[in-house]
Amino acid sequence: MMGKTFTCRMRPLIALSLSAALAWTPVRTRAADTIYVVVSAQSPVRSLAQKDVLALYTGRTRTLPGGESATPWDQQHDGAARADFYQALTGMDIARINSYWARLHFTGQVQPPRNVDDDAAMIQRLRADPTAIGYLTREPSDGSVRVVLRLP
Amino acid sequence: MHLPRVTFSRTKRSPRPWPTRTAHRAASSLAVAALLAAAVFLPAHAQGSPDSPWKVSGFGTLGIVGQAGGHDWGFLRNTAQLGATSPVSAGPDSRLGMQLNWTPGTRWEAGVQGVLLSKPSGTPVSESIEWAYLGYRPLPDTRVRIGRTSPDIFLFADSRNVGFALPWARPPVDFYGFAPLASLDGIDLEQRWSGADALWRARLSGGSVRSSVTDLEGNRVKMRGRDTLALGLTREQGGLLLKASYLRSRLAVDTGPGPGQLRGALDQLGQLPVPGLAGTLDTLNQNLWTRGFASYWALAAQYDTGPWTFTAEGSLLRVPNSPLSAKRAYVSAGYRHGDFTYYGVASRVRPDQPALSTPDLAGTLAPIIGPQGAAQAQALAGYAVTAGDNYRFDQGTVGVGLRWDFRPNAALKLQLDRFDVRRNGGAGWRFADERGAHGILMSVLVDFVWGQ
Repeated sequence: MMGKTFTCRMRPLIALSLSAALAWTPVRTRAADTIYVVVSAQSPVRSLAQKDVLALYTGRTRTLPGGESATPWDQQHDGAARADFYQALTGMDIARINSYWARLHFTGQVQPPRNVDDDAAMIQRLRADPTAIGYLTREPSDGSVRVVLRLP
Repeated sequence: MHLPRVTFSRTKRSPRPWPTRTAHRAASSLAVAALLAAAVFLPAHAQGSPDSPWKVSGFGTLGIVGQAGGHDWGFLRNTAQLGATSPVSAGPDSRLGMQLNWTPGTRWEAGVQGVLLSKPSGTPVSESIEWAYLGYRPLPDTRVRIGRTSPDIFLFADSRNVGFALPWARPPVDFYGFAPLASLDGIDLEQRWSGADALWRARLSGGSVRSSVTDLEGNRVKMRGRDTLALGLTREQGGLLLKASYLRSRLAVDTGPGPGQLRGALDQLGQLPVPGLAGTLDTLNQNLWTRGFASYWALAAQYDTGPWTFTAEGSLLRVPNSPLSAKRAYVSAGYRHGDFTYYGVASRVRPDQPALSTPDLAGTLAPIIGPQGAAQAQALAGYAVTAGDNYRFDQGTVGVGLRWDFRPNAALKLQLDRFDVRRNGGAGWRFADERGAHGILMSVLVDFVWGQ
């Protein structure tokens, strides 16, 4: 009796499962444009290794190798710049990064980097804060920020 | 000999129909509503500006789990929740969480999180607050927090409600289904450092725990952990994360006056001049565990390499002379291809103490205290044996699943599990009895986050 009821009730679930399993979206790939990791020109940092930037942008540390405090900033949460940056830095797509940060954020461990709108806003932020670190989609032309790493 | 009348609520009953009563959500609704109100009444500019110290975010899961087999028992995702109320139920997995963070600078921080999910009637509002703390960083990689936090002793227990952060439909029930010490009221100290190309994190927590677990009939049982101390040590290098953790606490469960009365009655019986009787009854007495010192040890590893992720975790829970003592473990492998992740997970929980068998007191004692007294003694022994079994988790689960990240902040998950509950090991199920059980669980869930 219960088995029969169960089968009837489960039929829509099974159909949904099969539909989802059969559905397929092509793997998203993006052109590998260079991302420029930048700090303020007032910062003593001259260059950074990818693993150091990775540690900062995955919430594992809040300091640079020399012991200086660092505050990472992100570009728009759902924007292409942020997705390209994390893909180049970690090799992970943005859904996986969001899942990773969800775990840290919603467990009170570490807050994710705050967001600015675009390259211009990022440069403004770095000018105002010598401890800030960010990334740009185009090589900066003014001298107020310094490129410390190119990705990839 | 007169034996006292004993009432003891945590006794196993014969299988019963699914209840019509739904979860009591008032308490957790209130907590989440308070957080929502705080979010609404924050100044409008406070949430959008990158310079605002305030951040409101949330998460949720809409999930349905269908159960085939397992008699008429109800599936429990976690013993702190109410569990399934029908063979196809949205109760165990569906939930909604809200979080408010305040970060005015690089030194101070505060946060509060409320979660709305199905819990037994009578659960206080305070237990809907997963964490609420005030933190301070004297140095960038050093943090001290006071308030309610999560002890750093599991890979996933502190994120067990955030489905989007989990690779599976839910954390393996055999491992995480009994984790009543997931929130700690007290203080914690965290230190991060790097060395030899590895990143380390140590967190020491101390305080007390007040939580609830659900008994076999869906009633709330209060649990308290005093003098709790927890230490977690994590090492990350490349894609490999290793974690070791330890917790100790003075645990106590409040199951009413029944166990005390029953112990008194068994002590009286033990004074009878019958060879071996005192030892037999002492064993039964230990089975009526309600309080004691508990220690927890765990090791965990997670390895990310290309599209593959491997996870394993094992733990030992030691509560001397208690049927709660158990070994738990799971292994999991996941393969990611584009927006899809395919995974498998196998888990097992095995109690340290074997299940007791009911001694034949009726036959032994009838010549001494008469057939009526002996029958009462036999009934008491039966209660004592069953009471201990109510704490025995003895089951294994094998599951396969699919996660589809159809949006950057939302994922659909499908999971199929086969469970196998051993005889006298159904503590993780509502309305369980002494029988063994096996069957299938099929889960369909959508996890989402916003505002993070």
